[in-house]
Amino acid sequence: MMESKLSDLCSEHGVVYSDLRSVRSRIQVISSDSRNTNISDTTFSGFGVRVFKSGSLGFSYSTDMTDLGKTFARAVKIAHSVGRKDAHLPERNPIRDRYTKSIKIDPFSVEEPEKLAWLNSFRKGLQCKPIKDVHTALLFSRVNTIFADSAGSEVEQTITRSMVGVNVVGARNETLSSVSFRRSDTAGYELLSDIDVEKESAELKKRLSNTLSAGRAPAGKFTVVCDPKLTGLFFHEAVGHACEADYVLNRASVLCDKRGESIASSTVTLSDDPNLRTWGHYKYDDEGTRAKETRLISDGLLTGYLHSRTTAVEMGVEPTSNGRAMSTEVVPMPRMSVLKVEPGDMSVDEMMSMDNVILAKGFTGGEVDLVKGNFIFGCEEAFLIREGEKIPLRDVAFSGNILETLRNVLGIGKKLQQTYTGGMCGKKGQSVPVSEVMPYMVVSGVYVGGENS
Amino acid sequence: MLVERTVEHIINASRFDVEIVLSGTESTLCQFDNGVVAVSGDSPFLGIRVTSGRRSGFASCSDTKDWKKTLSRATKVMKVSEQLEFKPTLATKAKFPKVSCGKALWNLGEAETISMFMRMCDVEPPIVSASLEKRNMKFHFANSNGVDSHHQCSCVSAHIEVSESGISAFESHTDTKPLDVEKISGSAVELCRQSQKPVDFETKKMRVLLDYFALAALLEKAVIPSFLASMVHKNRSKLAGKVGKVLFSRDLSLNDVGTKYLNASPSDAEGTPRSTTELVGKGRLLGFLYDRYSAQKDGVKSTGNCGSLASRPSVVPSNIVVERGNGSFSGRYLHVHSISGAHTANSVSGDFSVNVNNAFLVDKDMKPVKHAMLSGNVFELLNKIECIGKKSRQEGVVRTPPIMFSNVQVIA
Repeated sequence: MMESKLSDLCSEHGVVYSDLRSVRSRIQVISSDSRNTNISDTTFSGFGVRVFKSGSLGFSYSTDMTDLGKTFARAVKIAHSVGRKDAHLPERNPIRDRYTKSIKIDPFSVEEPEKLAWLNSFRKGLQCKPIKDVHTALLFSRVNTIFADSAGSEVEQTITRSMVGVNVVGARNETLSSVSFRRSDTAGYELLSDIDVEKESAELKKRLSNTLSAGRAPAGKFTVVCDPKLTGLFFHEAVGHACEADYVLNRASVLCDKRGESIASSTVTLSDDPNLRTWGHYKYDDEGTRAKETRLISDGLLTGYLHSRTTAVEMGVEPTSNGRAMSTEVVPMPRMSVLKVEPGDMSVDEMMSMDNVILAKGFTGGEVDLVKGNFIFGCEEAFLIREGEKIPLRDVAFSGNILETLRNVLGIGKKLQQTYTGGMCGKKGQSVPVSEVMPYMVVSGVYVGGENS
Repeated sequence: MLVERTVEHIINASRFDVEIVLSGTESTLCQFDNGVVAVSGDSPFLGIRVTSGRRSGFASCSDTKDWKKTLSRATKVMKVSEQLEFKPTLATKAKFPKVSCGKALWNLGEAETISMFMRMCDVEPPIVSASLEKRNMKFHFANSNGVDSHHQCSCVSAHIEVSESGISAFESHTDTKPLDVEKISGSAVELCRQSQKPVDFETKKMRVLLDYFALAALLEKAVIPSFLASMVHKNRSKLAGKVGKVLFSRDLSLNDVGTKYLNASPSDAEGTPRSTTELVGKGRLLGFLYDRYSAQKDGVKSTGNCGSLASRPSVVPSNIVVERGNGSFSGRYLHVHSISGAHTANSVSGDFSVNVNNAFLVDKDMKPVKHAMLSGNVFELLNKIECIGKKSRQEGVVRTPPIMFSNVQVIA
């Protein structure tokens, strides 16, 4: 249906190829702090059209499907104004499919009072000293996407995602600190029933107590044991982004021209796989490419980059199913989906038996300069392990160089964990859901931001 | 006309107190992706908040024709919602300040925007990333108390990052006036050239000059949250209970200005007129920012800083203005153009560790330095102000001059 409309519009405007993404979505957010609860419910419907004409790309969007002809013409006008001569997509066989990620309980069928009662049960376990405030939130989203192109493809995909977030602030003397819990997945309301509220509340209280009794970290270079969440953040921010082909093509990545070279310790093998059914999962990317695993690093060798269809054609390779767009208002670009590091042969006990190392757990955020290859990550909880003692540290940030750090990986843990920290990855103003399946990792020579010891 | 009727229909159809935000954004976005890629389109938005007694609910949609369904969802959500701490009130009719915003840009077309972007990208060193976006935005707020506020604004944002020999530098600017794009790209190129051949540095405490980008990022992520009444009420502000006390260097004065500069508008998201709020005067804490709900809690008036109808409270800054000084910078210091990792700072405690980008050791000459971090507590840092610059510029919500701080921990 849609592909024949596009085909007609292409003939009318002398366009070589065109594709369209239409999205219908619903997002419900229920949040509460110690005093107030808020519920918001948002729906969206809209579409974006991409055209390739005379080697130039144009893109336009609207929320009114009756505007298809006008929006298409606007995209053609944009392509004309840009006036490039080199933009094109490779031909591919038409794909027709319909995919719905199965869930057990539709979160939109559960009444709000039940959801509120669940949040309250979590909050109830956290009403004690030294806790000053508890912020809880539930997010449920359902996104239905139809991709169609003038070559005859039409793919419909529906994915439901659920997320729970809890943030706890505590105070002791003059020190204020916070810790968080998050669970997210491509799941329905059943995500909540898999959470042991009592256990997680107790864990949050213990972690808060550690951070409140912690001192500032010593400044300098350290060996760091990263838990799976922090390992995930490192590989996502410092390595995954550097493997995105648009950065590579713009020579904005420290991994430019390094394909086939040894860039990491031989213990490191990294891949991106949208087929893994975690928060970042999908069956088709936003250009209708079927999801597949892409090996980025094999035993320390850089083996590939992440591609959209446009970057793949520029580098003369096959698209890797990583062309993703936040909304109908933007053109897809290479993005990660689910990152996975293959397990190694080091046990967590072995890592923890090292002396004068920092054990780092969770994260508060990160930022990377991909050109210079420098990164900085904030970690949520940290301990200095010295002479068998585990000394808590607060507000620890790590910094280093991507390539040096990859070469300094001393060991990878034996066990993989779904980190469940899946959130929204930001790039060039766009956010998409991503997640990680990661082991523990130990790495030397990491800068720690703190006070002079 | 359709917009006027939609608002009227919603107010007439609701049996409860209702607040409506209708907005439309027309955007042309150009990006450099190994060549120019441009995108253009319109995004309408309708948000409805329904309130009855101590309950309220919010729903929104992208198609204004869907207003009946959206009103019904907001009403349903309101009915099943838990009771708020107290009964919220709606804004009443008031005189709105006149705000002029981006008239000179309104008629700038798609082709002209694309051509402006191409001029910005006409530079010698390779472009790492570049973007230019021109937006026309229309806002209409109305509520069942008869408040009706219209505003339209146009702005253009440009960003360019270039690299040479593995060293990069960026420049960016957002304005409601036409941009000198050649000057923007020229500044990035110049900074990139100055940053070549960086030298090693040592870990020490020293004087640090935080330039516009570095300071704006640190203030926005680590300091401003503590000035929001919503954070005070949640025990997430170190400044709670300290109004009237001198907490910062006597050289520091901070205001939130809602009627001038980049994010100016006649009213906030719930129809309260925008105004100027003094936050810090000569180092003394003078107040906090409020929306109506958080103001009710403290028995004060809203400062016109509501950011969204989607939650109560929802307090956001408009333009945080650091008062200019008359200092000039001399002696030996580390000049930091920008930082990364500001969002990893603890906005509750103020502790931070950030990477410096394009930093220079200034003494008799100016030497670019290699990888270094700054670490400390931002509230303590604001007590170490040595000198405030004469010229301000705005990045995001912060409008600040560069500031020299003494005794800052640098890790290299």
